[in-house]
This record gives sequence, C-alpha cells and structure tokens, in this order.
Amino acid sequence: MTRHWTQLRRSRLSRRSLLRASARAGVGAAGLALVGCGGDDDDDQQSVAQAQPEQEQQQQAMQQQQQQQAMQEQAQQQAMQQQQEQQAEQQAQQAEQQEQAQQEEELDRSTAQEEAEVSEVDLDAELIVGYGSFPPTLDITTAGGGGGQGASNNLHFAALAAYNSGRVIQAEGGFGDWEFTEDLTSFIWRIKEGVTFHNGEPLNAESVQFYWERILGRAEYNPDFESSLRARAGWMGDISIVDEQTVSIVMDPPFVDAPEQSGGINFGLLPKQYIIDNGDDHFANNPIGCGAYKFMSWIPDQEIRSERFEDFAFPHDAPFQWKAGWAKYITGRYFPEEQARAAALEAGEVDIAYRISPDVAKQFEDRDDFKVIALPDVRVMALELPVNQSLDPITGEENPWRDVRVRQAANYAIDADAIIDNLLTGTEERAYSPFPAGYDPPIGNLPGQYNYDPDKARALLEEAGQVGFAFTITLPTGLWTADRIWMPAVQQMLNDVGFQVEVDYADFGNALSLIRNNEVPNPFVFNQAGVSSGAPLGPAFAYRLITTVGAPYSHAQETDDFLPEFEEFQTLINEANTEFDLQRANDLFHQASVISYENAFQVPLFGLPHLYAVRPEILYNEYYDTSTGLNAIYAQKLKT
Amino acid sequence: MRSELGATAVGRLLRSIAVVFGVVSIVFFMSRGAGDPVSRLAPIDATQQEIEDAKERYGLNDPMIEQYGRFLWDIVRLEFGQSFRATRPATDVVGERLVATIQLGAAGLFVAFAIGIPLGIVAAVRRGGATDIFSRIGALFGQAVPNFWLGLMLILFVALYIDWIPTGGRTTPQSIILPAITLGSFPAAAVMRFTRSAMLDTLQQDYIRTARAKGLTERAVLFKHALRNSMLAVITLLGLQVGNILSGAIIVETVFAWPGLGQLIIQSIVATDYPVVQASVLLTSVWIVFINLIVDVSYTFIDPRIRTGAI
Repeated sequence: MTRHWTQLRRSRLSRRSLLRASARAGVGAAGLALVGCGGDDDDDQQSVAQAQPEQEQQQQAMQQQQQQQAMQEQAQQQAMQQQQEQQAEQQAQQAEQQEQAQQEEELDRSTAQEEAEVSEVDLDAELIVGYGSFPPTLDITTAGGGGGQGASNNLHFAALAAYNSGRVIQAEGGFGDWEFTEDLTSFIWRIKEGVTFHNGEPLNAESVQFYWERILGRAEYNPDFESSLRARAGWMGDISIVDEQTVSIVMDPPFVDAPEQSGGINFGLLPKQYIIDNGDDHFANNPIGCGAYKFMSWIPDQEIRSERFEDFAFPHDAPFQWKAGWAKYITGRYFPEEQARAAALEAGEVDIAYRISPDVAKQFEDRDDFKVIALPDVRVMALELPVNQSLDPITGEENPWRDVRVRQAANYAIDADAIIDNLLTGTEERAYSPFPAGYDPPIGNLPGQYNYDPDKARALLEEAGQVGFAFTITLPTGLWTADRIWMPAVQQMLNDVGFQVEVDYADFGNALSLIRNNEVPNPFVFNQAGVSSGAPLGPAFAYRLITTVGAPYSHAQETDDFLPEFEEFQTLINEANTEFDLQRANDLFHQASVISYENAFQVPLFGLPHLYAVRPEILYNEYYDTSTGLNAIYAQKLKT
Repeated sequence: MRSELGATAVGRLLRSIAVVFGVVSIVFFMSRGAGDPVSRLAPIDATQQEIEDAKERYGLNDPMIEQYGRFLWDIVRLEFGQSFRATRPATDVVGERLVATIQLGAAGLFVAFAIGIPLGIVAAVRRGGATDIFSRIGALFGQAVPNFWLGLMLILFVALYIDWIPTGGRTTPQSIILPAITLGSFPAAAVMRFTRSAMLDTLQQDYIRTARAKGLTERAVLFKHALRNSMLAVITLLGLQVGNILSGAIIVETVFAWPGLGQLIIQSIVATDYPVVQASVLLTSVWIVFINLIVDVSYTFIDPRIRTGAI
C-alpha cells in the first residue's frame, strides 16, 4: 500500500510542477515581505501625527514628503516585484521547457540504450512480458500462429536468412547461405552445418524441403495441411535435395524476391520427424524450432513459458539478427486490456508492458521507476488516392483526384509535424513516401517537398476549381496506434483548406476485406512498407501491396484509365520487380517513388512507433534500425 | 397430478427449444453480415485467387440458405467445423474455456447472493434505517456502475495495494477474487433489492403476525417463515442472473485476462471466426434456457399453486 502511494505522490509532484511552485512561492514570499514593510511604515506615520498637534503643519509637510517618498519607494518596489515576478515566470517557463526537452531526450535515449556488460546481466533471470495479444495456435505456418510473433515465433523459431541492421537480406551468415543459379531457373539454399532443433533433430536439406512441401500441401504425412503461407510459395516449382545440406528450388517463373520469400523472417524452420511422428495438432500445442528459446509450456490466452536454448547456433554478439537470448526464462502473459497491462507492470507482475498507446506511455514517462521505449516502425501511414478512375464513383462527374493540384493541395494541407508533436508522442517520423524517413536516397530531401502550407493548399484547390470538394476517407480502425486521435486532426486540416471530408471509421477486418475487393472507391488510409535505410528490394514488398496495379490494397486496376505519369510509375515498378541486379532494382524503385511523390499519388503522413513501458532494470537494444516490435530475446535484465 | 407436471415440463421444454433455435439462427445471419473471415486471416499479400480458394474450402461461396441448412444439420450432430483461427474443431476450442467461465460465473453468483441476500434481509427488517438507506444507495451504484470501469478501478486501487491479489490472469487461486467481485456487483444489487422487497411483502402477511402472536422468537419468524416464503422471488432471479453473469463475463474476462468463454467470444467476433462464435453462442443460450427451464419447473415443486394454476 505504501509503495503505491509513494509512486502516486512521486508521479503527481513532478519536477516541473515543483519548479513552477517554488518559483511562484519565492515571488509570493518576496511580495509579502515588501507589503509588510510598507504597512509598518504607514502605522508609524499615523501615530506620530496624533501625538504632537503643535507641529502639525510641519509634520504634515514632512509626512507628505515621507508619504511621497514611501509611495515612490512602493512604486519602485512594485515595479521590482513585477520584474521579479516576470523573471520568475520566465525562469519557470525556461525550466519547464528544459524539463520538457529533457523528457523528450530521455524518451529518445530510451530507444537506444547502451548494451550492458555480460557481467552486469542476470543470466538466470526470468523475464516476464505482458502482451496484448496471444496466438490461438503456436504453429507459425498457420493463419492464427503467424500472429504470435512477439510471444512465441520470435523466441521459438528461426529462419534461414540473415539480415543486417537495415533489414537487408544477406547472402551469407545465417542458418543458410543462398544463391541464384546462373540461368536464373533455380534458387539454392546451403544450410549451416551442426545446427539442431530443440529436440536434437538436425537441421538439414530434408528439414527445409519438408518445410515447403508441408506448406504447399505436398507432404505425404498430411497433404491436407492448411498453411496461410501457401500464398507466398506460388513461385515455387520442384524442391529437391542436392546433398545433405543443400536444397534447390525451381523458380517458376524466375523470382527476384526468392531469398526473402523462402528464408525470410516469417518462415520459421520446423523439425520434420517430430511433426510426422506427433502430428500437426500436437505440434501446434508443443512447438519445436531452432530459435533462441525452447518452448516449455502454454496455457491458451494466459501464459507461454520458454527457456533459453543453450545450444543455439549463434552467440550474443553474432553479426546479424540471430543472437543468443539473455534471460534464462521468458514468460509471456496475456493482458488484452491495456490499462490492466500497465497495472500489471506497476504491480511488478511483468517486466515489460508490450505495445501501449501514447496515453498510457505518458503515465510512465515522468517516473523514475519505469522507462518508456519507443521503437520506430517500418510501416508508414499514408492516404491512398484514387487517381486512375476517370469518373468520381460517388458523383459520376469528372474525378477531381486526377488533377495533380488537388492531390498536392491535400498534401500541403496536413501538418503532420503538429500532429506528431501535439497528439502523438513526438517520436514519430514525418513521412515523404510510403517508406520510413531513412530510405536511401531520402525522398524527403527532394526539392519542393510537401511541407505544411495551408495557403498554398487553398490556392491550389481554388486554381483547380475544387473548393468544397467532398469525399470520404475510410480508416480501418482497431490496429494502428491512436487512430481515433490523429484522424480527426487530418480531417479538420483538410477541411480548413476547402475540402469537405467525412471519415468512415471502419472495423479493421471488414475494411481490409472491402479494400481488397475494390469496394472502397474513395481515399483510404493504409500502412505498409517493410523497408529500412538503404534496403534494396524493400520497396518490392511494399509495392506488391499498395499503390500499384492489381495490388490488394490499391485503387489501381488493369481496367482503369491510367494517368500518363502513373503509367510511367507502373512501368518502372514492373521493371524493378524482374530485375535481378539489386542495385539496379533499387534505382528503379527509387525513380518510381520520386514519380509517385512528385505527382502526389498518395498523402504520406508519418511512421507510428511502437511504445513499451519497462522496469528500470531492463535494458533493450533493438538490432534493426526500424523494428516490427520488441523482440524479448534482445532484452537484458540487469542484476539488482 | 404427475401428468400435469409432465405436461408443464414438456411445454416448457418445447418453448426452450424454440428459443435456442431462434438464437442460433439470428447468430448465424448476423455473423455472416459481420465480414469476411478469409480476407482477415489470409496473409496480407495473398492473391485474390488464393482468397477465393480458401472461401471455397470453407463453403463460404455457397448460397446463404445452403450454408444455413448445413449449419442446422451440423448443430444436430454437434459439429461446428474447424475454428478459422485455431485450425482445430470449434467444439474443442470452446470446451477448453468452459471450466474457467463456470468457475468465474459460480464465484460471481456466490458474491451476488452472499452480499445481496443478507443485505436485503437487514434492509427490510430495518426499513428506513441507516442500513436500509446505505444498502439502497449501494444497490443503485451496483446497478449503475459499468463492470469494465469497476474492474479497472479494482485493479488500480486494490490489486496495486495488496500484493497477493494479482491484477489479472488465472494463475493463482486469488486471481478469481477481483473478477468475481466485479461480475457479482451488478447481480448483488438486484438480489438485494429483490430480497428486500420480497421480505417486506412477506413480513406484512397475516401468517407472520400469527407467528409472532404465537410467541415465536423474531429469529424464527424471520428465517423459518419470512425468508423461506420470500425465496421464490429470489429463485426466479437466479435464472435471470445466470444470463447476466454470462454476458457480464464477456467484459470482465477481457479486463482481467481471465481465459474463459467470454474472452473467446470477443476474440472470435473480432476475427469473424464463425464456427467458434456459433458454438459459443449455442452453448451459452442452451445453458441459459436450461437454467430457466429448471427454475420454471422448480416453481411447480416449491409452490403448488403454480402447478394447479391457482396463480
């Protein structure tokens, strides 16, 4: 009980409020002292006047003189007092600003902490993480299991490929090395020797072949197995074993993104014999992988316990993302309600409250006994505009979005920085493309970028004759951070320059379904990229999903009446998608992105960070420049 | 008399089956209108063809009436198909959660009756007194305060004070305390009010005056005569409160991370996991109807006037 009130008091009496109060108290005390002195003088003068009536005139003159002097002094004192008050207020404001800057700095610092020495880390610790979502099954290859990234998949499973910190897939250095054959008809994985799964089964060519055969429904033990990853394997032909540690996959047709789509982070390796012997259901409840932690126990929607895999293939300081775990045990606990998750952290039941909203993060920002970690996300919020339909599907008249001035007006109208600073955490990054700000070369450095300029937006809209243009924005809600907080601001900013915007706050799943079925003809908000600074082929993934012709979350369809600029953009994307020279592909994607930006095919907004509140003894070092979420493997619990 | 009792029971049973049929039919059509589960569960880069193939596999492209017919036939065989999310039979998924919800529901009912009945008795006996006023104010709050808010307040102001009460989960025996209080608060208020009003009514009856005139102790008058005769109304309430408890569990289980049926229903609705939603709703509706049936039939044993149609 005592601990709670101490914490509560500490959080309420923040340094800022103490500074402000002390400044005001100082001024008040000085003022009271001055008024008190003046009062005493007045009393003295009155008593002298009553006691000696003969010298009244002289005394009156003297008194008047004294009064004048006193008034002058009082005026001076009042002026001084006002000056002091002003100075004190200024000092308080400065102190407040300094503190605010310091807090922001602290928040920034918390994202990039120094890694502790091994001797400082408690290697026998149990790290308890409070998650907001749990998977319904622990088989990573199923639809439900694929969603268990934080609580299960990151810990138990490992995939073939290695990535550098910029999320660039590496040809060598992971659980497998890869290469394309010279004729580009096949793709080869050479599997690292000496690696075992948690049950001692070796990782070899058979495991990798079985992995894909199972997903494709070709595995003899159960051809009916349904994997959600089958969609990713449409390019795969025969999968054959070359030798004990080498697998060859026929590409039908040649596929530039084969390394990512066969050995990328979503494709956690599985033990063949274990699954054949025990069946899919058993595996879904008792997963075995070759990740940094081995599965111990699972109570659905309650708890997943894992233990560090001492025979993991890589050490703590491995050069790529595969690193040995720090804590001896990791326990994931499920708290669907965000405030309950935060309370569990406060009560000491968990060490990390996973993915919290900016509002909840603010509760922990000023506290000495907690830290907030903000990790930038690879995905960027953007407004997808319907530029290729000749008619407005709502009014049946000419589509106003075909006019570049209207699209640019929408871009100039939104003050993303103000939203970031005032409504979000301040750690979000302003976006200039569907990719994070660090994408190299940075599109945000182009001349004529769309920074907030409402006058220009109004002028463009007037020039286009579209003042009062009414449209609806569909916002899939329920997944993206603070969506109902920043969207009204976007709406208001667009309205302020002359648009008439309505927002359709649609359930996430339903909105996704409608967008995929091309049943959302109006602008919609989407969030997808998966690329970091300098990452070649990163845009390939993003443009497979958004903006381009036929992509599931794009307005553009084959039958549309394409703008000439859009055709140019699409041609570059098509070329990039079939370009095996990574540098050349990257250049093509960049050229396409510049065209997209200059022609304002979208309204990029910002990248939302993921926020976590942690206990002070937790140090977290994110391996990637931009992350998809906190990976508990990298978290260090210090000795206390 | 036995045949009258049988006819009453059969009549009530037929009505109950009709209610369950209505509920599952409404759930079937409403869940179909809630969205497309395949689009939601498919990988973000799945092609349209792959989504169509999955819909075909799950029979979601068939005409609605055909799907409905298949659904009714499946119910008869107690087959609800595979959960889209968990890729296991929906009945297994639902069955795993049942124990947790029954446990919480029973604890919630215990809280409701353990608080509501004594308070109702005291309030009736000391009508107009301080206890009565405070009980009625308490009942007002109990029925007005939403349980999600009460749950969060209990977490913030009780679980954080008392180390041995966890903020959520079902990991220790103490875990049930706060969710049970939250769940039981609303029905406790109703039980208190029902008990109070039934007791007041009974205490004004002639037989109570007669009992007092016979020189019985006040304790005997209250507990042997007044309370027993007031319990009919409270038993009626038990049937109603089972439904309230189950619907309240949906929110309470989410707030307290209690892995029961309520939490599963929320997850399944969000994921448009029809088979699990249907299995859960069927189970809960059958449970509520069954309890009400038992309550109805039990009247006929408790009060012969109902059996004979005297009232």
